[in-house]
Amino acid sequence: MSTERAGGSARTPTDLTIRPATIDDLPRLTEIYNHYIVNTPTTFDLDPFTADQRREWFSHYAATGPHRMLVAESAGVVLGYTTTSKFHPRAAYDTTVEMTILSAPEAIGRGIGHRLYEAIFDELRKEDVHMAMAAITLPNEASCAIHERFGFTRVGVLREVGRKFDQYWDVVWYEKKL
Amino acid sequence: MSGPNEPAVEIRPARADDLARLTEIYNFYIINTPITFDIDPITAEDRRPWFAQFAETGPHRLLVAEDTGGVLGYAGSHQFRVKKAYDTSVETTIYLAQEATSRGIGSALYTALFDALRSEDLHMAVAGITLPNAASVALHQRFGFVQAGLMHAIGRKFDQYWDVGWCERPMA
Repeated sequence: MSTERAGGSARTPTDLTIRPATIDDLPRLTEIYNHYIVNTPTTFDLDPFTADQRREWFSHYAATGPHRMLVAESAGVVLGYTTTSKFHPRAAYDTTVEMTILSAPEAIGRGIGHRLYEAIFDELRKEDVHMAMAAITLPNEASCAIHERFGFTRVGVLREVGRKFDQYWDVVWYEKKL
Repeated sequence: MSGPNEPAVEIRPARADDLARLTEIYNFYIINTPITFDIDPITAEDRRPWFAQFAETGPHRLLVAEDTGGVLGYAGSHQFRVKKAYDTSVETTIYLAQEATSRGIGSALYTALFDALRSEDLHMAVAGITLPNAASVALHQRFGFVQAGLMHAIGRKFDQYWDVGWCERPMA
């Protein structure tokens, strides 16, 4: 299956590898995330991070257990990442994870998200996780499309639930049974 | 609000010396119901960080309902999600002592809470309700919340999965 957009765009790199993130990836992961902080409403963080400030976030993930982080790498460069994280601190929510998936802006439309999601859902199969959730700031057709391709269904829209760049944004929630 | 045979109920900001009673009210719901997704009862001491998020000014408030017999319930507004763009939203919470339900105390608390929040830079309130809970759904509908979505099987407590309905209410 291809995730190329209609009209054609660059192909998925043939050497693309998916692997657990390591601490050495942190500057590049921060660089990718900061692009979305600074330029888009995709994330509701407002101020860019230093890699050092991102250490605490990085520490939430492990190579085993329900909270994973995988990166997609080609020619020694990380092009995107996906995570599963705690959905909510209360203990009964521990059977649910929240998804994140981001590609570097220059790597969008090359099937990287698809490969990342295939790999992370494969990993989660062994974990005591029942539901995966994803929150997407609207509009974002590409993100809605990949979640729907992976079997997520729409839960609902929280209208104007965040303010960024002096405007309010709607967030759609998706869920997927694992 | 109070019925003809009920003592008058006062609504006021919570104080630190309410914490033991607030914890007692909340622990009932932890132990006996899926209404909260906390699973283990909490001590008042461990509840201090929760209490510390509220103030008598600003978007994050905690009000209690009290009669001559003591605190009967509480309602609060707190951070919905950590990322800063969410700061224009609050999540609301409301708990009544088991013996104080169905006396209009929840309405009195929410009336006072939304009145207190009117001057704050808030745009939306959201509330999550473990289903089924007809009384809570009805209370939120009365205060202008509409259902935004239903998250299926999103929590596990008492060896079963529970749905949570999320509702939202404009604040501006």
